[in-house]
Amino acid sequence: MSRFITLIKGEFLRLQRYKLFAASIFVSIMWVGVLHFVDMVNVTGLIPQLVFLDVTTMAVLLVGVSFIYERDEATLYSMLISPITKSQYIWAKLLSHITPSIVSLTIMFIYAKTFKTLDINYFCLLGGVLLVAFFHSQIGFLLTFHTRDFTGLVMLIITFFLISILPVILDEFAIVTNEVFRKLIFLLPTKSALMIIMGTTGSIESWKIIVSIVYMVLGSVFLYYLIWKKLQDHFLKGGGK
Amino acid sequence: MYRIRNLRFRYPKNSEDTIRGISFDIKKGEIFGLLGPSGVGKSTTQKLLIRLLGNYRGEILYKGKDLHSYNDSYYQNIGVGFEMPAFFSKLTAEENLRFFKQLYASNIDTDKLLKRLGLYEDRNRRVSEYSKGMKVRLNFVRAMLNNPEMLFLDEPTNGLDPKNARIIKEIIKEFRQQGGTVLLTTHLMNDVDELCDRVAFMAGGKIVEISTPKELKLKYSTRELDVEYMDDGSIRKSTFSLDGLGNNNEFMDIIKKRQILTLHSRESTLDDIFIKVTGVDTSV
Repeated sequence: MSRFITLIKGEFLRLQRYKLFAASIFVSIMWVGVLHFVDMVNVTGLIPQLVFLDVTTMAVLLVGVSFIYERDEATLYSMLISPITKSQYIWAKLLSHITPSIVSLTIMFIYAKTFKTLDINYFCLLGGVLLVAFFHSQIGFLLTFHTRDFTGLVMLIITFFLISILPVILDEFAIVTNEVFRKLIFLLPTKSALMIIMGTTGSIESWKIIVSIVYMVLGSVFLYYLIWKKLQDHFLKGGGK
Repeated sequence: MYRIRNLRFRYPKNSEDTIRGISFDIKKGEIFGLLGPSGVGKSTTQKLLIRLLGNYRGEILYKGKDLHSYNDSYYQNIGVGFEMPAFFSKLTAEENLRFFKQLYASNIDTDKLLKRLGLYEDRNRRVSEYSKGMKVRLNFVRAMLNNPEMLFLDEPTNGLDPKNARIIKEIIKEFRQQGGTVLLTTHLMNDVDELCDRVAFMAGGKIVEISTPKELKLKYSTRELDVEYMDDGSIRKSTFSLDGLGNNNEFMDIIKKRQILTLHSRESTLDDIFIKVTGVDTSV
């Protein structure tokens, strides 16, 4: 257990030193800017949408960047010849990298509660963010297995955004209203993510929230298995180099 | 310490084995050199022994037990110094070492080692600000920090000035004197000559020669002696067979009557042997 805590502490120190925390805070401030300048007093419907965008993109990006740094600096090898298990390594990285999402949520929540009208339970939203961030951090992990550098990662994240997040946004803002399209996007994990986060406003039917939670939980288990398995293959291929 | 038998390994996308049935032992308390040109399988062999790679065929025993039977506590007993420095560049040297030390049950006094390697004053500087030589020295401290029984070192003195290379070699010798075992991978034959108890030369994924440096030098030597001497005001050179040298009248005559300038046996150097057995010149 003490080694796991050491790994978590190390991840937090590096989030700070590699300025990934600062980048996350900067994005949060941008969201606060949106809240400030938007012409509405009650932001109960807007906050979950901003949280959704923040969590799904930042969780993928932060884990990906952190992993690429470790690979480029060969510290990944140094970790793997230390007396830690692969699971401890993966869990420490995932758990620490969902923290910026929590901080971001809290900043937006405090601003909205102080300067606007907001009718959402913070802890319900927090629960949703934890699950969605955990799932998407794992997506970030997997994407790095298929890229050699930071530029490649950014390209993959843009592709992920276009395939997975954009259709959900088009549906959410009723830009595309085609029925087949609206049904098909339920296959996307990001739709479940949005259902869970929007569910905190009380505007989503309970069964949809439950199905989305089950989707995210089972999806997380599957992704974790893939990471655990592919991490070793990744080294067999020479660590992406 | 290690017993390796008929070890074979193939990378997933390769059509041929990189390691092609090698067998050797690493005895407790010895410095074993694994030598050969780039791409012959030295690093792969090391990665198999430190379990960065798996799925090998053949047998690797560590302390008499199959390497597969060890869990992650195996790493409590080994120290690894990679050829490329492996540090978090935006953390200080001290922060890097503290982080890795906390992962092990046993630690050495790294301050003492940092002082000896001339890094103590710079321990609070970020690793990104370190020179190449400083990173190499820090890499060595990383390998030693868990007080290992077995040390894997890949080019530990590469890029170091002679003074610091000397210090590293002294520490490696002390490590052996205290019962430690070392697997050394290097291209620097002077280091091998100075440190290694036994060496194995690899070529094409196989071990092509394995013995002590002394025995290899004798095996690959020509049993002849070159003599340079003064004869009527000019320098002359003659070569004699070492066999029956004491009964060679011509040689004895030169020794007794001439002024000898140089005497050289034709003992091979490890560089010569490297070129002969691997077909690659280390000087280029």
